[in-house]
Amino acid sequence: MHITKLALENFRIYPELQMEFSQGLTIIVGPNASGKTSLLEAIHLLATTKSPRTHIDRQLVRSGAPHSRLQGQFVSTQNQATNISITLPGEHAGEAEQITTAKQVKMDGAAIDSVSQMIGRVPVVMFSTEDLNIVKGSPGYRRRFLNVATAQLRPRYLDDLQRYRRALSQRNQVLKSIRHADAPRSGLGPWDTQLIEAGAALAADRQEFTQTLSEAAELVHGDLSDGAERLVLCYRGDLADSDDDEARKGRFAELLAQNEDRDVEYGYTTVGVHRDDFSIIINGTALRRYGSQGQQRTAALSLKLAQADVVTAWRGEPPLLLLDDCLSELDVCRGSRILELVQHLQGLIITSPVLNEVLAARSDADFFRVEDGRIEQTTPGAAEMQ
Amino acid sequence: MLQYARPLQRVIEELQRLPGIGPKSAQRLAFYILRSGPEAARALGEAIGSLPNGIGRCQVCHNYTEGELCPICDDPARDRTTICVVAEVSDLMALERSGEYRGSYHVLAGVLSPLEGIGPGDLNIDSLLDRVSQDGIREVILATSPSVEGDATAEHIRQLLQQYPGVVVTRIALGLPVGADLDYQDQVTIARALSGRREMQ
Ligand SMILES: [Zn+2]
Repeated sequence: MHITKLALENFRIYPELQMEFSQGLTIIVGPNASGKTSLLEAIHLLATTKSPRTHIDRQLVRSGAPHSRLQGQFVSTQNQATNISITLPGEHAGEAEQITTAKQVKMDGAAIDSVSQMIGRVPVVMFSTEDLNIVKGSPGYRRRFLNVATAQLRPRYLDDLQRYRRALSQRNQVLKSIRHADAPRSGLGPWDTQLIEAGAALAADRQEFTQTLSEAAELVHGDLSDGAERLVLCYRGDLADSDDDEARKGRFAELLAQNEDRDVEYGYTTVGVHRDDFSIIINGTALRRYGSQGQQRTAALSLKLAQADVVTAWRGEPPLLLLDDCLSELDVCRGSRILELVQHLQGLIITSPVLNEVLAARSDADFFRVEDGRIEQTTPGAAEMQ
Repeated sequence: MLQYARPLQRVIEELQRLPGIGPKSAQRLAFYILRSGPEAARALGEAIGSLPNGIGRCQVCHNYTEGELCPICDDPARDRTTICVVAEVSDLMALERSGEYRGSYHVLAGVLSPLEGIGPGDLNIDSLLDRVSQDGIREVILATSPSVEGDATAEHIRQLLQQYPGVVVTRIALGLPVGADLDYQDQVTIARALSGRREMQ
């Protein structure tokens, strides 16, 4: 998958922008806060309808503008083009007449009313500095990573996740009303059934994805660390030790029954896949606690590069890979090794604050320079001189 | 801000309360009614105004009716040994339009949703159990939508019906829009059908 065209109107700092890309490697150079991350964010938004940086769409609209428009054209390895356009309402939308107040997404001209209709159509994987949180942050960051990654791979996953969350909220409400003594405990039963079905399905998908990702990440990370580090992922959660669907359902039912008194007392559900996590282990030690900053950063990148491999294997289409400022802190040797690892991808966009020697050596790439929301195509020589 | 004349403003406000009607649709409808002349406007107003008076709930199935029994319960040709349980009268109408079903119905008037304060006591479940215990019912078809709430409601009723071993309980899923772009929905439906998770007994 690669992108051929991008057009932005009132997106972040860009009043208006049009870019064309060719197949292969694109390098975007610009100082910090110049708007280069916003370009990758826009591409990610078009491919998935979601920004990787915020879930509040209004923040994406240029300050003072009534709305923002994004358009992109993506082309698959089978040469199939997909055109996506998104309109986002701004802060003051709705006050003026004739302005829509809801986000609108169109794919090849047809309105998309549910995100799930687009899932997997334009596979994209993005790495940014915030992804360090996957390695060292709280379990919530890792669950979010699991959810976003698996939803792109399995059409049913997002549906199961939404059902699980809905059943969980309903069950918690019943727990609260039992606690305040006006509801019988039998009211839990129908929600337990829904929770168990969706939860077992989610656990199975997460288990399989983590396992596959672990195998891919071990190879990638071994390469990035000169074979010195063996990286392994281990799925952890209340249903992580069960091997098949029946066992997961049985285990979940058992846990819900065992913890019912405590759940009633707390007024929420204390067991289930909403507490899932996975651990990242390097040479037998948990990276989250004992890893150095550099080690954690490389591991985060390994996970994302491995995710791209899993997407290719499961969907049969290599994703468009967006790497936001991932090379600047690495040495030349490691930097060029990363570029070798992603060499086979049809679409790869890398941003960097400076044009280091690894990037400048890529005469096959398209170069762009960004400054204060202005963008121009350039050559490695010209970009270097500035 | 520009204000409409009071009567027009009132119609716009009332129309806006209807599901699926936003400010712009409400304006358009209000102007249409105004332009269509006093006769048409009065006829519409009367039809709407007399709606609550003439309509009640069927004593057997809770469908809307003008009399004690709805046309379906009153029809001797319908199979009374089969009851199809639906959430709303609109679901009943959808099934009737298919022309495939010749049994009777039971309208729950909603689905379980603790978050919205709807528990088993708020639905027409007791009257369903009365019917099943008395009438020599052979089959109950649970036709609530395949949402989490619809599934939980079906599950709740299934559990209650276990005390009548002679009654077969089946589950059908409504709610898929026909003719819409089902690309993704198809994938989900097929995945679910394959995993057999809709089976109730
Ligand atoms: Zn009736």
